[in-house]
Amino acid sequence: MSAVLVKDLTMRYRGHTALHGVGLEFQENTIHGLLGRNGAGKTTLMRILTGQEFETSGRVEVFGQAPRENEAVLRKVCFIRESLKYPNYYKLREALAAASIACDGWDAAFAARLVRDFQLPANRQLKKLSRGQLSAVGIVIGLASRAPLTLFDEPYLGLDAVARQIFYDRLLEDFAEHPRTVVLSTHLIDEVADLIEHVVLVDGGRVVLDADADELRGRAVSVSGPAEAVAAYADGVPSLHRSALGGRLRVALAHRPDGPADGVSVEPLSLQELIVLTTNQGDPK
Amino acid sequence: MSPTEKALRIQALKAKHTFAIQWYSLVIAIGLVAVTFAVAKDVPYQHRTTGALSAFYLSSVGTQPWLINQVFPFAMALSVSRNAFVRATMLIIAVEALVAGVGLTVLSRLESATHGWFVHMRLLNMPYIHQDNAFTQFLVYGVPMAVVSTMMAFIAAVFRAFGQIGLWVFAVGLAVVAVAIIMVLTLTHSADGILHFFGSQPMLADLALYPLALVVLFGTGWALLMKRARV
Repeated sequence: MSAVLVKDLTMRYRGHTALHGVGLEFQENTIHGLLGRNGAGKTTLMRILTGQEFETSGRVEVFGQAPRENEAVLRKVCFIRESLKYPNYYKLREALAAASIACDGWDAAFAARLVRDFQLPANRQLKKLSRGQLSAVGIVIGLASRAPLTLFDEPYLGLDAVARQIFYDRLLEDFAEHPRTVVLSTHLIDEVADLIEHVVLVDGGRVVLDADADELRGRAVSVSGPAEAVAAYADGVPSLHRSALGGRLRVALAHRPDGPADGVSVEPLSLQELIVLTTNQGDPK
Repeated sequence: MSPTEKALRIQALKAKHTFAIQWYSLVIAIGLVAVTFAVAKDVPYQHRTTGALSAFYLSSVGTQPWLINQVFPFAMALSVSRNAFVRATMLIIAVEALVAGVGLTVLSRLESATHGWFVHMRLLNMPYIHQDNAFTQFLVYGVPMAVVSTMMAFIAAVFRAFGQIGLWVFAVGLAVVAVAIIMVLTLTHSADGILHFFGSQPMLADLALYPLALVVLFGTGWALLMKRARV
């Protein structure tokens, strides 16, 4: 069953179209990666899914209903944004208290554990925390909310590598015990590549890729070798990128060719490479 | 827990900021003025009055902007709906006005009973707002609180919905309307008539009934603006 269903969604601001006829589906109890460059429309999409922004046209359903001011839907949703602002004078314990009030599935013990893991000071005003610590507060709220649909929009701005790994580990651990729908928007694709099960790539307000992560990981390949051998092997397969040096050629292909790889080296593309090359389609190959 | 109850509890989480600031101000004002009149023994009784009650209302002006511009975006991230937040804020404004009405009425009676806080001063029992009836006294104290809260909620919602430019347009528009009214009153020589009208009204009408119209006006505007507020 799908947690999110979007059809022909368009969002226009004054003179600017942020989303053009977007269609996608997020299955329940899955970790989805919502990927794309800055300004691609990811945040706008998540804001619409959480009722914070109203679409210009199209159909948006979250758990089978339109999210706009729909309290039955919104109580199942938690949206942690990179730029999430906390009220002045709030301390960590007050932010967590507010989350415990708002989120039906709040797990206080899990929140306390996460606070310890991220070494967050409970009694300091949030406005005095570092950027990374503020990001950690958002992560604590997002994870401990156990909301059936949890959206993280670049949740770890300023977080160091250790803290980011803690986030990934706790997300996976908790997801295993309490499956739910998680949408993770990030630019650190390599770091989350093993975490996400489904990828939606947005570029210029359009969905350009929508596939299972496993399928994507095995699909695109990089072929290198003598130019003639590579050209022959890659013949008829859509290429994402092409670079030549001397007599050698390296080509990124959208999928592995059927024929035998004689005299060429074939390696799978990483998810990050695939995303970068797919969103660079307009660049010279 | 209903969505409104959730929103209410989140808004009341920092009760000190949501409900108590004006009461701190009042206590400080009573203390300072009492000490002043205790020291200034030669001030005659009829001059032992002060407008320090205004501190009570003025110090509450920051509450609604704080709730709408800081607590509201955070509450929305936690998926509190706009409608639930608005309903909760309405309740808070009503409770604030109720508590102000009851609290100030009780304190005004206490002021009388203690002969002006033992120094014969008049801070709450000002001649122009004193009512013999406790209920009308409650209205005279409580309704202005609701006016201040709804007006500030409206201004904060203008900022929330239209940003800095919206606030600027609102301020300029207000000034233009004010100037236009003054010009019309001046050109038609009707300013004296208006002043006479309000001057001849019962105190209860001036301080509670007409302000109640402002509560409805600002409250409706605020609730409509919040429906289009973005975070």
